[in-house]
Amino acid sequence: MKQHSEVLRSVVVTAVLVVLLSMAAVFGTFQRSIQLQSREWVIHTYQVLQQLEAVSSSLAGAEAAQSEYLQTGDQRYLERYKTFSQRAELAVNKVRQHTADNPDQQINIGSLFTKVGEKRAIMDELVNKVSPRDANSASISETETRSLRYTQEIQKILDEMKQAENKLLEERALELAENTQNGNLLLLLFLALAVGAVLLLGWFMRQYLLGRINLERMLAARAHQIQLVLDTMSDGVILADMDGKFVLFNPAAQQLIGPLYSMSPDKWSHHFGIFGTDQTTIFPAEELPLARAMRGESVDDVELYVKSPSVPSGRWISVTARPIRPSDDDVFQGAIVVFRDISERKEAEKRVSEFYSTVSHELRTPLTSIRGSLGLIEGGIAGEVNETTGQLVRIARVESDRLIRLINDILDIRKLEAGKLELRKTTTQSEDLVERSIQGCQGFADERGITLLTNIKTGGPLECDEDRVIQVITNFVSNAIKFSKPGGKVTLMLQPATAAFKFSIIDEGEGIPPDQMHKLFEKFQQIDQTDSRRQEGTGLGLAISKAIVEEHGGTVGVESQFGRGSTFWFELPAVFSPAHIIKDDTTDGGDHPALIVEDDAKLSHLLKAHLTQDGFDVLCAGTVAEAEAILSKVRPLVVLLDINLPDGNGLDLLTKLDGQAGGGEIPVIVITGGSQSSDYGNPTLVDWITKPFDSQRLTRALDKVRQGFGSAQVLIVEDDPSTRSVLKEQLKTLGIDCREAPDGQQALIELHEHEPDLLILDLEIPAPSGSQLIDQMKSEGNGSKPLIVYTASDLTEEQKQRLSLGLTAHLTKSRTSEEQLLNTVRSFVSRLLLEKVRESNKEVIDG
Amino acid sequence: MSSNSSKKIEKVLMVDDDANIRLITEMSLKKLTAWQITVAASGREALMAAEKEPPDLILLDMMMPQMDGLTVFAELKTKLGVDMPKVILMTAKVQSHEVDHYKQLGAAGIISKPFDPMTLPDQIRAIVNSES
Repeated sequence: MKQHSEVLRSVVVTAVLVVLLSMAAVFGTFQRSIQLQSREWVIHTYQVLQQLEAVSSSLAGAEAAQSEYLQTGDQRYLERYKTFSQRAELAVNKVRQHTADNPDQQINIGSLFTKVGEKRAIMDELVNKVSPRDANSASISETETRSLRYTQEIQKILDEMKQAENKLLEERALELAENTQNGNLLLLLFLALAVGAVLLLGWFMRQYLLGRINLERMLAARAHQIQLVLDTMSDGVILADMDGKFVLFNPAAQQLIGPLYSMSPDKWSHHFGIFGTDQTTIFPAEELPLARAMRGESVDDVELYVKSPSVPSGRWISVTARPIRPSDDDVFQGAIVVFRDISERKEAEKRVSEFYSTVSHELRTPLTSIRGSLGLIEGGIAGEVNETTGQLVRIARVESDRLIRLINDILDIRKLEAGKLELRKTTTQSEDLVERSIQGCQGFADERGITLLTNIKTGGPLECDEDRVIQVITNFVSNAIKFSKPGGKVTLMLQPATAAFKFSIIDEGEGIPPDQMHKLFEKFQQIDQTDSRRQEGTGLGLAISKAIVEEHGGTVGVESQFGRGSTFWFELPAVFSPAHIIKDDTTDGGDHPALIVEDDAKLSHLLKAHLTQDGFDVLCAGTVAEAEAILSKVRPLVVLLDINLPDGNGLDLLTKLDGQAGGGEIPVIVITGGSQSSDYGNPTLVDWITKPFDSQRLTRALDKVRQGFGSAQVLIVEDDPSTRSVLKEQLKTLGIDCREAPDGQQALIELHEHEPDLLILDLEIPAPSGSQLIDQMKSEGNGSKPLIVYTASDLTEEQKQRLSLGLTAHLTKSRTSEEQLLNTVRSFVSRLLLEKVRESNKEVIDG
Repeated sequence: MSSNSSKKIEKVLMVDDDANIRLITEMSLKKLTAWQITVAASGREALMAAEKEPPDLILLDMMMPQMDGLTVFAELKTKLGVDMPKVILMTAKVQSHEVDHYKQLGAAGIISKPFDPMTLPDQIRAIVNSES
């Protein structure tokens, strides 16, 4: 910008200079012409004066010649007289000519002309009339006297004219002098200004040039500094243009990956020997950070392996690349890549990993013997143990268990930190996770005199690493038990959250002081606790739990009231949004009510989970009285009934139900310890399941119930004919009617012609592909169709979001058993049919 | 519950280079089950024992000098072919979470060390039953 203003200033000054000079030139020319004019005028006046003199002298000459002639009579004098007389006339005519433009002289010139004419006439008269002899006659004398008088008058006029001309001359000379002086002064001024402008311009030029020189020096210095930085740094830097030509690089770049010369970017990987993290497959050239940056991406910390004739021993590099876009100051377009040697770090990581592995082995081997020996003694395998010894052995066993837990926790933390916690995700029922965790913790709870309760408000499939989630729940539950007073209770609640399941572990312990809350989930943090409980944990459990939950894409948190208890919770993303089992504090049972009459709380929970998964809004009763209360308000779609209830016989309830209006149509599944009484043969009895409870049998019974609700049609879109037919056969056993489509085209036709209730879609089908099919369905207003995406590839959350219609589940082929797929279909179909039933009931009511 | 379909375990071969662990494991299984237990202290011994009298189940330690568990496993597979018994890998190196890789190799399951000798038979039965 500074340069700009300097140039502008120089231009302005130059322009001013040009204007000044041209003005001076124009003015000079003008002045010159005025001077010339004035001079002409002066010459002209001089000429007039000269002629006037000529008039006077010619007349005098003529007079003198005339008088000589009169005295001598010599003809020569007569000739002379004539010459002078003519001269006088000529002179007068010239004067007349010259003064024609001067009005002041006109009167004088007029009288001069007349007088000279008359004078000449008199003189001619004298010469002609009088011969030289008569010279002395009286008439001569009289005429001579007249002539003399004319001479005097003429002289007078001439004098006046001369005077006037002289005056004019004086005035003109003065004017000329004045003009010349003023003109010269102005010219001088212009010249002075021009010189000033030239000097100014010169100064500006000097400043500008100095600025340029300084700038160039600075640039050179900066370039030198940058060169030094590039030469000194151990990171490799390469700047490439849009054709992939290396326009700049530093020595480190060549040291790290070998000599650099430009080549087509698709040859880079091969030429430089760039491999992926497995160290064996050539890294795709178009995916190289520099190539990606040339396409406009910013790439950070990509780890690559380089091994080539230039780098024979191999080297790990971490690469960062940025696109270079043209800017105001620079039109260059290309990309820059910076990479560093991370071989040492990689080597260190490998050694650390090996170290952990070895340490783990070296610690566990002796612990196996210790723990094993203690376990065998404690278990009485080695013979009867007396009470004191038993107590001591138990202490040793418990402590070695703790040591083992600590080692496991440390290894977990190490894996989490190295980002190496690999989740083995499978589709699991969320409520099963709760049940299994509770079973695992029951022993510890009994030991501490704590009651474990579950409060399952929802259920359904969850894609997670079962072992890890159970580890998290167990960790929270055992913490809760640890910090509860004997006789207290710990509740494990499962409830729906936004597209997630929320697991809450609620205790009635001491609670957590507010100032300690923030560090709960940090490593090796335990709440400052004066009593011995502090000693029990490793201080890693919560940090590990948090990391596991976050690895699942979930969140974790805690709420606590000091002195009143704490709630630790975590949420895991659901396969499809979970529904409430019971709408809190209401008994209307929702849109699809089902009633469970069962006094065994655990079995009741299990049954509830089962029904919830099928889309029922479940109401639970523990007694006949409760069941009757519910039945007075709600007409359930199905009843699961236990016979032996605390306040009576479930069969009585059935009899009563039969008596109710429409009650006899409600399907009933009996679950009981006793065998089916022969005297009960209600036609709506679907099944009589004897305990121990078999969930398979309940599933089949519910299938039968569902078939009573109507039928749903499923469209299977799958290109593999055998998979298709297997699936079809299996669905047939569930009483579900199927149609098939081997490709997207056929699927679209099926969708239009048969309007299936549910779509089971393989994504990898011939055109249009599964994802295109979904897009098309969305655009055709079919966006709320229930969908089960059954694909070979692992989908990201983002992809799942995109590949969704109405109620949607995403199942990965390799991770989903046939049973899981069938369960999902069953659950979907059940929900669909329940919705149909609700709508038809509504129509009946409305109609 | 569904164990009726699996082949009944009668003969178990137990391989571990650590004498203490051999003793504890043997004691646990002998006292708590009716299985017939053979022990081997190295991979080579194990191969010989398995060839001599093919067991129904092998409990195989992973980290052993000279011939490690996976090598033994591979050699057993080539030597025994269809008579290959179920193999449970016993390891102090990994935790039970990382069993996928070994399962792919054909192991029935993994029991991580340290284990509880009082529940070891139950763990073994659980793995064998889930396999069948």
